[in-house]
Amino acid sequence: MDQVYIKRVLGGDVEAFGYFVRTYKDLGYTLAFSILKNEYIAEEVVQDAFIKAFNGLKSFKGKSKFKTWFYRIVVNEAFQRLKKVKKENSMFETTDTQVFVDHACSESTEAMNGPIHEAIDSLRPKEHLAINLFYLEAYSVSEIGSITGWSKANTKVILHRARKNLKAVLHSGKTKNS
Amino acid sequence: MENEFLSDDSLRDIVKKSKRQLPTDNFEDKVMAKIRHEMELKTQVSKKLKLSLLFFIVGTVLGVGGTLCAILFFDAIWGLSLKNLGLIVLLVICVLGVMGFDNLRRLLHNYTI
Repeated sequence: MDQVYIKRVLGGDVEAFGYFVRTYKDLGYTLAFSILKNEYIAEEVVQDAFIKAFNGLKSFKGKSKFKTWFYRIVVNEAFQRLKKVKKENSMFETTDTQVFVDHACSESTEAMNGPIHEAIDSLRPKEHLAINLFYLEAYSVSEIGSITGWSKANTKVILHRARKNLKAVLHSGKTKNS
Repeated sequence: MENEFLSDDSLRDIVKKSKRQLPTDNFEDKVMAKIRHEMELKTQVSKKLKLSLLFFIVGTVLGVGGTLCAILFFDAIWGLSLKNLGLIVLLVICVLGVMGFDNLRRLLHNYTI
């Protein structure tokens, strides 16, 4: 299906790109959020990623799936933005993972899956990203590596740590509640 | 041992529940509007670049032609030998021409839809 729309966009049908926006906006946003932990910045990043994808569609060779290529753009954009935000925030002496959690604007989703969101959002950006790619999109370790640019060994380590930390957070939440 | 209470399947379910949705309803419209705007901009820039390429070629041809004519029809200008001066001018035109043409080619490539 993606190939059909890629051909249409390359043939000059700009509106056909709307298909990609509709199909991949939510997962692109989930990935950007897992890195940035801020709804507004994540939305901006996904928007920029779509525009980059549109502009670079000519260079898309079709060696991988469109969504893998697009997620690579989202991840790169998000990490670049994270670097920028960290730099800006460094003058306020904030710490690594606590800075970006946007509690104020995520009330609606918190109400639905509050403790789960809280637990997963507490993961470090790389761990959160790895967990999302592995469980939401069922990507293999090597596919995660090709999206993020991490080595296979590094991806395995990050994924292992992410699982361990998530289990620990969920367990501590469970014992608190009981 | 305390972390062993969750299986991989239950972790998968938990992560699936954490999937987010974009908070804004008109996200698609915003992205498509930006893309349309970029396309308009690209079309305008592409037209101007093509025009500048035309003038660039005309300028280069006239510059080389003028210099060659000057070498052929005059011996000296303000006491300077035109043969040496003409060769230097032609060399400069060639170097600048190649550099300019390459820049224009790259710009055109970036702004061609």
